[in-house]
Amino acid sequence: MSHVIAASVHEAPKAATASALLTAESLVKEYGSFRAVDGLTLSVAAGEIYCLLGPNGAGKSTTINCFLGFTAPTSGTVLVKGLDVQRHPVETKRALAYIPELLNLYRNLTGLENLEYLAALGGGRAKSRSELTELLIDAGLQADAVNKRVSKYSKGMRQKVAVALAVAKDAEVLLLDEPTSGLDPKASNEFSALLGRLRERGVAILMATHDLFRARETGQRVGIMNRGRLVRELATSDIGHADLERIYIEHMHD
Amino acid sequence: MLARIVFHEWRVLRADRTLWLLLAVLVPLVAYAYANGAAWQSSQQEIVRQVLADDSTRLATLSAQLLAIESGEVAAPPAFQNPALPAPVGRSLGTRAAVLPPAPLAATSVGMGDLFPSYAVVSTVSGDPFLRTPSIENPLHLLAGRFDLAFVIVFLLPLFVLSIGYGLLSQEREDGTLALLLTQPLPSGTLVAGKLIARFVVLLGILIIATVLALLLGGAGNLLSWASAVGLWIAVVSAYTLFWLLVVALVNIRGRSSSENAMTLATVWLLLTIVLPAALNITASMRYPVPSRAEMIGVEREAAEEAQQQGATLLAAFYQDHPELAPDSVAAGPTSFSAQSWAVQEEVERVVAPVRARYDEQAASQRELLRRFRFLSPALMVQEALQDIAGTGDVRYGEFRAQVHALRAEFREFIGARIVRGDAFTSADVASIPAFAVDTSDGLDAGATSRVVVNLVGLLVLAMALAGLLMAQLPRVRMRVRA
Amino acid sequence: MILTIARKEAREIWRDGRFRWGAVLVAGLLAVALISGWQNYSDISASHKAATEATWERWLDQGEKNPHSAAHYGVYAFKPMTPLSLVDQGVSAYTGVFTWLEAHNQNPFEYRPAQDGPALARFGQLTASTVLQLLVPLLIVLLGFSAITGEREAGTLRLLLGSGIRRGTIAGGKAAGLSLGLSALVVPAAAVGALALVLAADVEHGVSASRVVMLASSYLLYFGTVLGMTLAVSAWARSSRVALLSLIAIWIVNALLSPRLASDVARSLHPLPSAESFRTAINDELRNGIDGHSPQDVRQEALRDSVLAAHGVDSIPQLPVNYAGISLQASEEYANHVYDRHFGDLADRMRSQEAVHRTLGIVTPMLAVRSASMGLSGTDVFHHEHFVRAAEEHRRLIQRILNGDIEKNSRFGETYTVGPEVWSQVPAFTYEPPVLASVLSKEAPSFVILAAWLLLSGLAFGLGVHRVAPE
Repeated sequence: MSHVIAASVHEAPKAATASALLTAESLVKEYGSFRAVDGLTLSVAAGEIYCLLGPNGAGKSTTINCFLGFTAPTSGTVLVKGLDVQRHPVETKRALAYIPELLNLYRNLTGLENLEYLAALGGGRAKSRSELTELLIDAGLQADAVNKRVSKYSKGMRQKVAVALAVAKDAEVLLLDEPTSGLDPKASNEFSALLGRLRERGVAILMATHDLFRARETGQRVGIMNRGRLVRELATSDIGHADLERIYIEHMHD
Repeated sequence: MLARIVFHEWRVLRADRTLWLLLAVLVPLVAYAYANGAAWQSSQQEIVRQVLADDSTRLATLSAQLLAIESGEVAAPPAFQNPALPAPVGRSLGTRAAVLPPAPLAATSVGMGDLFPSYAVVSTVSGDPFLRTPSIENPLHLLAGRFDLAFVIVFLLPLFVLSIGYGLLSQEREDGTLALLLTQPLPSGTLVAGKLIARFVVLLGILIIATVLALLLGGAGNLLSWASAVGLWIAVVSAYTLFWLLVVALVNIRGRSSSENAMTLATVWLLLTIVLPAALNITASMRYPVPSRAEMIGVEREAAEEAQQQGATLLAAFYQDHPELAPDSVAAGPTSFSAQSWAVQEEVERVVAPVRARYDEQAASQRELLRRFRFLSPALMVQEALQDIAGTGDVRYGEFRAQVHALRAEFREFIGARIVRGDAFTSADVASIPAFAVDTSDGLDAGATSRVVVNLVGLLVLAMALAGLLMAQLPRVRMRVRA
Repeated sequence: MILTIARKEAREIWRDGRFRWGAVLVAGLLAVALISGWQNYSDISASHKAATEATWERWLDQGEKNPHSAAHYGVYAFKPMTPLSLVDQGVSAYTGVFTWLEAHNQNPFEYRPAQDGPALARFGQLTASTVLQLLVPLLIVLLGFSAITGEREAGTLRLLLGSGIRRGTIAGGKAAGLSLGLSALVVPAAAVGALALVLAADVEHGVSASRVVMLASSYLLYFGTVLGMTLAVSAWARSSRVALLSLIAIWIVNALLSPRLASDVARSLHPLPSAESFRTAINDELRNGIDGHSPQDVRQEALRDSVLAAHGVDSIPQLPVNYAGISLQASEEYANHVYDRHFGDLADRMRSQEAVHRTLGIVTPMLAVRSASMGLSGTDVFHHEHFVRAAEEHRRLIQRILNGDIEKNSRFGETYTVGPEVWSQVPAFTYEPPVLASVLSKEAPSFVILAAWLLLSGLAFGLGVHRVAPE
């Protein structure tokens, strides 16, 4: 574990480790001789939105997959609520919710039926249909869409079901992979507002994205990844849009 | 949790019309197959009824003729058809029928029933009584086999399992729902189990309800006393379904695409139900060839000729062995010709019997050896179990053959004693002609039951092995989320 | 251009590990099937040959006896195996292998080998025909189901269509490429088969090169049809998955369901009598006459009167010939007449059933190729019936010769015995299998049907390629 990248992280204020719900320590993931993630250390606290920025292949999705337990790290540790993801797959999954880039639900079932199923699997307190319907509407779904088959849904509507799921299972952690790609600006804006509400409830959110603008708007902190390394961490309150873009481009030339 | 997954799978199967498609295909299939088997069953019942009716007519006629002769109303007909002489009675006038009535569940599996006759007429005439009653069927149809319920189970049921299971996980991956599913806090074993259980229940539910309905509507007779047989049938079919579902799961956790899974599963099906049985067959028949019966004929003829050449001396020897059967004067009389030819026939029987038995035994032991191979293929075990439940397996027909041969021996002894002693055949003797005890058992006999159970256990052992493999692999399987 | 595409297709196929495994498996099974077919053929034909010689020797050695006793003693006729049974055993396991040629009775064929086998034999023997009819088509399906859909899914169809190649050329190239890949499997198999046949070559059983060529061409037509269908489905299907599932479904109907369903259709169109009613009907007619009003004694009386009248005498002892011979022969002829009616009718019905199977080849090509294959291998019902007929003719010949001897050479009522000089007047039973022309005239529909299938599937493929969209 000679790869210490923390050296490049100097400006960012460290989140208090005590309240960190997501923690990666010296995370390394190799595919053969290729290092997809190269000594990544980061943590996300409750009530915080952390945006991972970086070009394709920077290791953002791999990092998220490590938190999900889909990918086993080559070395280092990945903790959710202080529990090792690999050793406690069921317990850590109980705490987290995930919204993938290509979010698909059971096409032939309605939004409500999908939520019913996934929420039941997600554990937590059992909820009635009306409670779940309310959650869907809270998440911004039109009331008449709740009982329509998902095959008729747009991506934005499917994401609302996923957000409702996160609420339904009382997820403390939300992982998002490029959630706003393919959304129009209005839907994208609505989605950011939804995330903001979840944050207020104390959810720790880790979002991988290409969208610098959205990252600065939504996140409290951003991390810039390149070639598997976290090259820079910033607090969004310290910088403007133009600054972020400049810093980002700079780091791409490393 | 498990119940939730099962319910959800049921909902998905219903929503994407798989369920209706299954109903639309499986139900008519079961109905057609059962009707086919039932038609065969009733034709067999008709044959048995006819043969038994002929049998009692024959004896009634014999009785009437004898009474008429004994009372002096009519003169005795020429010797070769005189009912008062034991020889013509044994040859044709007093022959007895042996029948194997189809069991109540026979309609579920025609089995070997199209190949083996279900009746025989026992007489003193030499040769296998079954040769006189060959069943008539186009050999092309014997080759193809019947479209009966057993065919649907053995060959088509696995295909249904594969068709609703080849995308067990791969379909979710391709549809993009697997990612969401796998971020829920549930062990992958529970997920797979839930999916398998839903399919198991749906498929078997349809199949069993359709079959039981067919049995009830088809008037399969006293089903109550056959409830245990029906129960065994359900158990065998369930175990077979379970086996194939586990195969489906094992193929699915390899993380390949639905197309690849379908290809792999089709190949596995082909290997297990077509290639393996055929290969076992060929291995067995090359390793343990059943001798051509052509050679047997030569041996038999030779033995018969020798016996005939000894002719007269045989009868003397016979009387020496059986002094109780010797008539008062062994001198030449009207009976001596019949007695002598009887003695020759008896000698032929005696000499030929071991030859025939040797062939039968050899064929039987080879059959037994081949039967052992069935444990390698679930299809073979199921086929045998279904036949045993339906009463159409080769063991039951073999037992019937043995019973017929035993009756024939008894019959020959009965007639022979009268020929040799020179006794007349009287109306009082008619009632004591040995008769066949027709199988009227309620429910499966112990032998059939134990054979079914052995196959059932064999199937379950195979399924257990697959389940073990699945359990061992599941924790190590890294479910690929993306297609 | 076609060649370029074909070469690319064949190369892709060869690089596909699945095909290599499949090909090895199929080729291995084919080899095992041919070897065991050969063993089976040589075992059985040796044993039947020996048995035929033995029964003939025993006939000649039967010593001095009355010719009619000899007629009762009889000989056995053993059905010879045809060498091509190593390709297709057809119905041979389900037909009796020998019959007893004796006086008065047309006996049934005894001992169907399947009766001595276990129930598991009903799953079918692994013969070359199983491999060729069931496994090779599945291999073709697995090989070709994604030929067009796969290109579309990989996005290469766009390139192909955009490169200015005519669509017909693409279709031709695909077909040629797949055939090329397949020939790698079929050609060695055919070579092994041909070698085995050369070893087994046996002109006396009617195996000629032309039979083998016809047999091979029936299978080539079949493979072509399956290939055409596979490509057509691939061209018309929405996705590879749909193509694969449709083709597997077609395979199931074709290979698995059609023989059994065809049997049901044939049975219901041309039902066979039950064994019991068949036997009863024959016995009835023998006893009471074909018209039901001329029982045996009436017929005997009429015969005696006409014979006496013909010779202008008024009692049997006055006849210059032995009446016993005439009477025996007359009852033989009467029985033959009855047998011809019933066995003839039975054979007709079975032939009609066979024709139903063949005709249903219109619905599934497997039935057509199966019919052609069994027919050309000499293991179908037609060949069996042909042998049954020949054996029966020989039985009748024996009766004519022996009854003729009684009629001419003995006196009524005397004890008459003869020896080998008469037994050797009976010719040994030799069997001439049907000539190829008669088989071909029967199987012509199969070939026409197969050719039509090939044409149709090719057409469907061509049309499919012409309307296929790149996305």
